[in-house]
Amino acid sequence: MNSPEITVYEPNYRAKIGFFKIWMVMLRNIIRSRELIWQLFKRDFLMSYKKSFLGMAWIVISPVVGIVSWIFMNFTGVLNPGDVGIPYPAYVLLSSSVWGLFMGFYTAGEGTLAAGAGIITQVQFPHEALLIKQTAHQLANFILGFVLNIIILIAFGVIPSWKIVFFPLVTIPLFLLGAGIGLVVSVIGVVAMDLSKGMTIVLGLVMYITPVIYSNRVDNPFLKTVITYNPLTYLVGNVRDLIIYGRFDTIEMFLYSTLFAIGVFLVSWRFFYLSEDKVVDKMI
Amino acid sequence: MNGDTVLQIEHLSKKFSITLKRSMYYGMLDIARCMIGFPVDSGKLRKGEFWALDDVSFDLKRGESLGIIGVNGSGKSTLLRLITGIFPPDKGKVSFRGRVGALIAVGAGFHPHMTGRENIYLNGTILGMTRKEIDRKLDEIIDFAEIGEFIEAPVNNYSSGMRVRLGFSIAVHCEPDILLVDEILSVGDLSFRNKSMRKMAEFRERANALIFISHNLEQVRVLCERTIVLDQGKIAYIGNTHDALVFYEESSRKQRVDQNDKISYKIFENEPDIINVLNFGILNDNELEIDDIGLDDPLIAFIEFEVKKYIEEMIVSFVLLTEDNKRCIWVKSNDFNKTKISKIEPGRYREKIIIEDHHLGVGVYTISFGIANAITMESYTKMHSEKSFRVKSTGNELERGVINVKEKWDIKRLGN
Repeated sequence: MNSPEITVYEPNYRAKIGFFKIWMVMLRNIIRSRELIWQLFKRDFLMSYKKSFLGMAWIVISPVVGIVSWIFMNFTGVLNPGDVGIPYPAYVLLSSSVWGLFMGFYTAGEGTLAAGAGIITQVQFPHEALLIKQTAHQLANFILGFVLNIIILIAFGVIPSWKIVFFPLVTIPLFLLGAGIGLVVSVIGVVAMDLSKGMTIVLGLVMYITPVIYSNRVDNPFLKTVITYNPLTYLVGNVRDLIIYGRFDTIEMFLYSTLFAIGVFLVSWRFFYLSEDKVVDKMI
Repeated sequence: MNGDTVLQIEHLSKKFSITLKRSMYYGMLDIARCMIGFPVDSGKLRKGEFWALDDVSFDLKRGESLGIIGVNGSGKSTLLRLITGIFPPDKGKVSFRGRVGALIAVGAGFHPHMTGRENIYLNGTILGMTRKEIDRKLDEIIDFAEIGEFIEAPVNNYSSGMRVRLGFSIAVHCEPDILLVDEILSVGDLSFRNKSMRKMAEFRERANALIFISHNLEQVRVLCERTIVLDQGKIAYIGNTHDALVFYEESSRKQRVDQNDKISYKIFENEPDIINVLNFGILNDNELEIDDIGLDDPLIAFIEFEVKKYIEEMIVSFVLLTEDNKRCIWVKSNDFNKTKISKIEPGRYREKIIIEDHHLGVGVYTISFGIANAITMESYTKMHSEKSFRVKSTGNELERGVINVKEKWDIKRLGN
């Protein structure tokens, strides 16, 4: 036999893989699925704009419209964000685009199983690959919008710091946290759609207790406490500050938050792998 | 697993829930238990669950081909999904050597706006081929699918036949060590079906293992040496294909006879003032009612009725239909003046018709009777009621045609 490798499927066979080995298996599966990830990405990303006149312009239209509303509220005095040191529109533009990236990572994780609807029940392949494909999809969306945002930023006279080159590195924790939460929702969402719907609302609220559209120098003591213990304050805020001011304060808090994100991701990724086979037969 | 075995299935079982609500609830429960590290004992049935596949064991050796047949819902596709690892088993074990490829739904993941060529790469990758492999086989795939120049057109412009051909072509060029085929050769036109069958045979020749699921028993006979009959998730029969097919056809005919009798009405629409039909059916030599006869047995049908008023002369007619409602036999008691049934006084009667050589092939047939007045031609019954019976196989004959003949064959060379 040219390929003598023996595969065995048993009840709960995934749980029998060693504790640490399980992450290695998932990692190996992803590396082996590079081509699959690319093909699926091509199908879903490039094809999603084929039937529209504006095409990829849609990627930037929706965030821009969102930002206009913040600016409007700021202009009319409804919203008082505190002194942010640069023109408010530029601040909120960048800030919300970093938040958008976090939400993108969440959406990627949340859509992992759904992205495979139609093929999961027909063909066997490592479903972890779908997470990467989803993430690539979200990143591609993000990058196009982000480049535009930087151009607008420069138009407002804010020259981004050269430290922007660290951007990919400092957004990794955002991915870990967002995708981590998303993966759990993805599996449970197959049997209880309620969770995915609820989570979207919850994360919408979380944005208001994270200094995204306002600065972290708030007066309300309650909000101040919440912000201090919210890991996203650092994971989002530090990234934004790095680009705008070229500074990276509260490194310690950022590291703690990063550790938290790593923990969330490892646990939920493991959870995804162990429990998704309890729900695949419900995806038909 | 020893040397020659490529696939081993041991006590494989899979359960499903009857209702969606319960299925979702159990899903939730299983996830929760998984989360706290106490995986569920999946080997027991909970309320509202049933075994879709129940304790199935068999193995497959290198170069073997195995057929799986059974009625809809007998667990065939579930078995396939378990072997490929799409569904995890609830009990038992699947082990195999090498790569398993499954033709379950052709064209999985096809994107309608992508061209045929792009979809080959997409679908091929989903099926587990590498880019190099696809590059190498691209022309062959396009050729086999008979797509021609349309390969550059988006697949939503394809006819459904073309789409299926393309999907099938990609799948068979995957060259797995074990190929699972689900009901796929029923697609495409005749010439494509024949080509696909040749491809399957070729595949088998190369000493790869093949599992073939089909409702087309002829295809199973051609392709498979061994066959499993699945019934309600269990193996009802496993053995050489011929015996398995005979077993399957016999049991399915038995079921059909029962079902037919359940749905057809038992009571004649008759003229109760004159004639009341009591019963009718098939008899054996000992005058006992039966629902199957042998190929060489005489066919004895009877009708029992009660005559309420004196009838000067009457005709009894007998009709025998095949399963697809074609009339095979239609005879009347007064044909060629065979019998004259006259001067019938009130009372109970039994009329028998005996056909010594029925020449009927193995299969399911239905009979019905009619009674009419021979003088006025007034009908006393309407032929609504039917009864089914079965012509049994002696263990060798398969259902091939309506007429059973004893033939001889002869071949002669006529020259070059």
